[in-house]
Amino acid sequence: MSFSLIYILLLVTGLFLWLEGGSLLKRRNLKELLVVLLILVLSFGYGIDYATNARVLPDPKTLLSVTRPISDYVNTFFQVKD
Amino acid sequence: MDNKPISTLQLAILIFLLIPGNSLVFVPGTAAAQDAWLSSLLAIGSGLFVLYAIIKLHDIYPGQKITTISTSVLGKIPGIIFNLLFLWSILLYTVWLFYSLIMLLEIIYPLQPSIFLLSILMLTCVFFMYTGLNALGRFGELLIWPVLLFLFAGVILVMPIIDLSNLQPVLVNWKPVVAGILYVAEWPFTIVVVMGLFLPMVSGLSNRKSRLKIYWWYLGGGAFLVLYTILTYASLGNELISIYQFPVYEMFRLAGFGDFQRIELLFFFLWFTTGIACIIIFYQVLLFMVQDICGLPDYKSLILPLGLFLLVFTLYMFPNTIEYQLLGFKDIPVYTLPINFLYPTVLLIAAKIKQKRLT
Repeated sequence: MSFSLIYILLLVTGLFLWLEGGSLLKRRNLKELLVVLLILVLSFGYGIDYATNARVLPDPKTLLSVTRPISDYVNTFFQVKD
Repeated sequence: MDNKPISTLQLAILIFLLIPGNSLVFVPGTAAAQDAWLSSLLAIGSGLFVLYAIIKLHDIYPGQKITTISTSVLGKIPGIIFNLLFLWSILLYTVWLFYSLIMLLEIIYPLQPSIFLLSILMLTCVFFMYTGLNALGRFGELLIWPVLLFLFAGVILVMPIIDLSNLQPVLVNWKPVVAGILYVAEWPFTIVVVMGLFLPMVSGLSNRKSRLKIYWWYLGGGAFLVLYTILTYASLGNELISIYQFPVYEMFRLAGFGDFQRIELLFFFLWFTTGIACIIIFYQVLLFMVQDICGLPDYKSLILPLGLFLLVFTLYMFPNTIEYQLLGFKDIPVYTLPINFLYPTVLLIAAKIKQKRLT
C-alpha cells in the first residue's frame, strides 16, 4: 500500500508535468504556479506521511472532532440510537 | 439561444442525480428508525429552499457564481472566509463519497487494493474535467433514462419481499423524527447548494417554464428517496437496517424473481453511475471554488493536482471504516448542515438588503 501510493504520487505528477507543465511555464502566471505548487506539496506531504505511517503532519480530522460534543448533544437530545 | 455549456434540463437532471448519487446504498435519516421515510418527506423542503435561494441570488447577480456573489455582497475578506468554509464542506463531501464508492467497489473487486480502485476513479474524474462542462451535462442526459429504468425496476423487484408492518408504529416519538429531518436535510437534500456554482453556465434560466423543471426534477429525486426509504424499511425492518452497512444493497440481495437471483449485481450500474456523476459534480465545484478564491483565469492546470490531493486526502481522512462511520455519520453533518443552509441564506439576505439600499 505505502509504496504504491508513492508510485501513484510520482506517476500523476509526471502526467501533470507532461500535460500542463509546458503551458504553465509559458503563461508565467506566478499565482497559478504557486497554487498548483501548494496543492502538490500538500498532496506529497500528506501522501508520504500516510505511506510511511509517520503521522508528523497535523491531522485534518481534528478540525472535525471539535464538533463531536455538539453531535453528541444533538444525538442525546433527539434520543438517537447509535 | 445563448451560448452556454449546460441547458436548464441538463442542470435539472444533474440535480436529480445528486440525490440517489449521494445516498447510494445507504438510507439517510436512520436516526428516525422506521419513521425515516417521514423525515425524508419533511426534509425535502430544505433542498427546495436552498434551490430557491441560489436561483434568486442568480437573478440578483446574473452571470456570477455563488462564490463571486459572496465576495461582492459580504465584502472581500468576509466573503473569502465564507467561501473557505464552504470549500471545506464540499471537500469533506467529495472525499466521503470517494471512500463510499470505493467500499462499494470492493464488494465486486475484493482482491483489488483500494488505492488502485481510488486511482482509477480519480483518473476517470480527471478525464471528465478535461472534456469540459458540456460533457458533464450530456453525461447526465445520457444517464437519466437508464437510471430511471433501474429505479423503477428496483421498486417492482422488491415488491414481493416488503412487509408494511415493519413501518409501524408511526410517529411514536417526535424527537428522533426531527433528528432524521436534520440528517436528511444535510445529506442529500441541501447539497443542491453546489449548483449555485453552475448557474452562470446554464442557458434558458430566465424562462419561467424551464426554471420550473429544476424544481420538478428535484422533487422527483426526493420522491424516489422517500420511496426507497419506505421499501428498505418495509423489506428489512429497523433492526437489520441498523446492522447492515449498505441496507439498500442488502435489500436487493434478498429480492429476486424465479430462478433469477443476485440481482443486486445488476444494480451496481445504478449505484456506480450515479455515484460517479456526483463525484464529478463535486470535483467540478471544487475546481470552480479554488479558481475563484485564488483569482485564477482558468482551472485547467488545477485538475490533476486537485485529483491527486483528493486521492491522498481520502486515504488520510478515512484510514478505516470505523473512522469513516464516525466522521461521515456523526462529525461531518454537524459542520456541513449549517454551512449548506446558511451559506445561501446569509447571501440572499445580504443581497436583498444591498439591493434595497441601492434602490
